[in-house]
Amino acid sequence: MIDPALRAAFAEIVGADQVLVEKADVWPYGYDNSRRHSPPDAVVFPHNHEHVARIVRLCNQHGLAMVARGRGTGTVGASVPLRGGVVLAMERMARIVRIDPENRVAVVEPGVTNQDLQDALAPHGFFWPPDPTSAAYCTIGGNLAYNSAGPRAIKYGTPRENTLGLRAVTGAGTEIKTGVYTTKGVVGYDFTRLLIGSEGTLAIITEATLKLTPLPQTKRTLRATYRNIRSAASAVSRLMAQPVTPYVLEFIDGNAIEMIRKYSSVPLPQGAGAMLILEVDGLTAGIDAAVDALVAAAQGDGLIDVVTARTKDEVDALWATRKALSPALRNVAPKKINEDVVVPVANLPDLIDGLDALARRYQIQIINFGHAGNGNIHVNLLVDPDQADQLERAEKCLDEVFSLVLNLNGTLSGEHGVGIEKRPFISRELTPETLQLMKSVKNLFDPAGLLNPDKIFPA
Amino acid sequence: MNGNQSAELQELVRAAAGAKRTLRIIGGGSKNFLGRATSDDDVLNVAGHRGIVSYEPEELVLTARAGTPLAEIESALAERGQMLPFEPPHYGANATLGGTIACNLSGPRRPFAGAARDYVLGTDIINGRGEALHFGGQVMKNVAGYDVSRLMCGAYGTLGVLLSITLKVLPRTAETLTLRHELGSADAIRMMNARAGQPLPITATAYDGATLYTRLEGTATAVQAARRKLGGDVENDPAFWANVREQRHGYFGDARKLWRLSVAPTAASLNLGGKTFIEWNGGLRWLYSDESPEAIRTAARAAGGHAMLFRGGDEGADNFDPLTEPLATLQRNLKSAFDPAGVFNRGRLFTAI
Ligand SMILES: Cc1cc2nc3c(=O)[nH]c(=O)nc-3n(C[C@H](O)[C@H](O)[C@H](O)COP(=O)(O)OP(=O)(O)OC[C@H]3O[C@@H](n4cnc5c(N)ncnc54)[C@H](O)[C@@H]3O)c2cc1C
Repeated sequence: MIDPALRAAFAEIVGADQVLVEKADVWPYGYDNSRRHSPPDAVVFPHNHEHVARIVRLCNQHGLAMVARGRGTGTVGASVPLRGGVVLAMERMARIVRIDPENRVAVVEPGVTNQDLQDALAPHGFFWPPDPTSAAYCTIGGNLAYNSAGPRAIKYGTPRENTLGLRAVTGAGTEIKTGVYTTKGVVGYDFTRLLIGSEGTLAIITEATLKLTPLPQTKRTLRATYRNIRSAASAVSRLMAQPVTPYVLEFIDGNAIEMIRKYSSVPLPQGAGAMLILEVDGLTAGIDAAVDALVAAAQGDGLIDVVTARTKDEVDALWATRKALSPALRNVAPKKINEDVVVPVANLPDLIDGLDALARRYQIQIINFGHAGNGNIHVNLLVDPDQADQLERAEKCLDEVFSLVLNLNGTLSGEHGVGIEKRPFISRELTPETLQLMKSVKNLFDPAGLLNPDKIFPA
Repeated sequence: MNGNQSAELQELVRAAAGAKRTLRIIGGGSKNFLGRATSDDDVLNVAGHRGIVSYEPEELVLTARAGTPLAEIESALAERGQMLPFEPPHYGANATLGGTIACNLSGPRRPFAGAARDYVLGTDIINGRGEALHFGGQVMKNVAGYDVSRLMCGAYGTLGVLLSITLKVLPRTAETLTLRHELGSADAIRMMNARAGQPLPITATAYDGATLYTRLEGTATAVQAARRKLGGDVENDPAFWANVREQRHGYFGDARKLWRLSVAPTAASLNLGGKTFIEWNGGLRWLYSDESPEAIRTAARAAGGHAMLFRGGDEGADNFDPLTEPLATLQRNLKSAFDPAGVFNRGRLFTAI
């Protein structure tokens, strides 16, 4: 329970009805999609930059831990207030400050949801490229803090490549502005990109200047099926190495196809061991040529067929396979441990083979799909939490999954971040010297160690 | 001092830190004119630490030591039909990859494809304590820990010695065509921006005061469709964009100081007299002017950006927009975290950094 005087001090900043302290009220702000839970002592709703700066300074005066929270859709626990303290819930700082189509820039507060922003931009003929599947619920602040992205990243990049500048309050309460209102102008060291992906451990973002991209004139969807993962991985390399970059290049492995076959009625070609779904965009005048280029690159050893959709129904039919996957998975296992690892595309077959071997050894079903164009694969371990030994086997298996990924020159996370979940593994990817340097960077922004403590770095 | 092996370079850095001497890191020396002029105790020449470590065309990834000549990298890529997407200027035959990344130099394609820093996947560096550190990796998406690799880009060697750099590369486009339109400056700025807001296959724009140049790249059909839409005449000089990039175009070469202004793309003419050359859809303005540095910086700020003295700076003068508090303190502290004794390129970026 928070000291009443402190509660009054927060109320003085944001108004009494913008502070929650009752157990039942703060409870929902204690978890995210990692299903970890640790309630804060208080939840405060800032409405503007000034509020954030004052709250952070107050927390520093009283040695209170603080965590910024978007909408809690993160999957690794980065917004979970492990030490209690104060959650700064950013959801009411949700104004789109300015859309400037002439300069191709939007200025937003961090609590705006990704989808609300896209909806506001579309009438102007623009979009902001980062496209996490959770777009309808997650905030721009969360997107920036995790560097979240989706399929479109292969052509259009992640928040790092699509953000011009930030306004923020550091853990120490210092108000900073990074970047400028231009083509990613930077004066001095690039703090914009340092803050992006830092999981809210360096500063709280209060405003972001985002770079916009014109909406494409038209798009096409293709599906290519292959006998096995090796032939599909070679195709991914060929597809990415020619000049027409698709903006979506999704992959599902043989186990996933098997599952769809069992639990849905979606028609699938026989003998398929891996499938790619592609989307390409561009000028109406050039789209057929672009499709031809992709179809040509898809050709090769092990190709079963490649289909191009032209009508909306045909597009839906191609995506039906991918969309049938999630319900099918739920049918099989009540819980899935979903990890988003990345390996170089050429190592995809070794990754999938390695995962198959682990699945056999630990008697755990593993299903893989993801964004093949940049080697970002979602590895799903299917478990029944009611079987105690299964969960234990899964944990051990997961440990080896990470070793496998790092041995294949990969990284532990392409989208979901480190948060709490991957802390135990981070020192396998980063050397002690590198971690030490990152800690000293953290220390510059948050000398008292109060801003989102106990995240990223090994315990 | 020369070092070919990273261990030798580490030893030299440790010795300098121990003796409290400062080092000026030099690759090919082609960017000596960039940044503040400084007087360092010793030169650390890294040109000998060179060579492509690995290049996997099917993976679109290349790793090279920092001293590798840019030309060597570009010709290895060209052999496989690939390129550095950020189209870096060389500013001299000796340009190295390390210098290019340290200065975050990007050419005409930048507003369309991104800057040098957007293509850096990982780096190996030596910090001011002589420790070798590795950041990032070989894959495009990586959110494990802070993005320190990107901090190296544009740090002008003040944070550490770049040892090697892993870059994402891209396939070359199939077809390229440059269009010319004779226009006044206000119309040119308007047209560049109007076009940039549409999904057209444009990959470079430049305005020399009389003519707007627009480069189209992509599949043949897309380029031809865009050409019909945009009209204008075809520019036939195949070296046009290379000349702009390398500042060999007729505009450059004035005896006055050359300023580089980063401004909001739609900013109107800045009324600073002299002569201007515009790139990047209006976001980049080169300027030869007799106005005072203060007047130029004020105008750039009013136009939503900042100004850098690009050529002709002298010791003592600030080349970059001076940092204001509290950012200045944070940046100084960041420098200390990497280079506590202040060994590297002291004063190259700002007086105190
Ligand atoms: C169904 C589902 C699908 C998903 N799909 C994807 C996907 O395709 N790609 C992907 O990358 N992720 C995906 N995610 C994960 C998640 O949605 C994203 O990471 C999202 O960006 C989190 O946003 P949020 O607003 O919920 O942030 P939260 O979970 O509330 O917070 C995440 C982190 O951001 C920090 N933070 C929040 N606001 C600020 C701020 N203003 N300043 C500083 N730090 C801040 C928090 O402290 C925390 O560290 C998915 C999640 C779900 C549940």
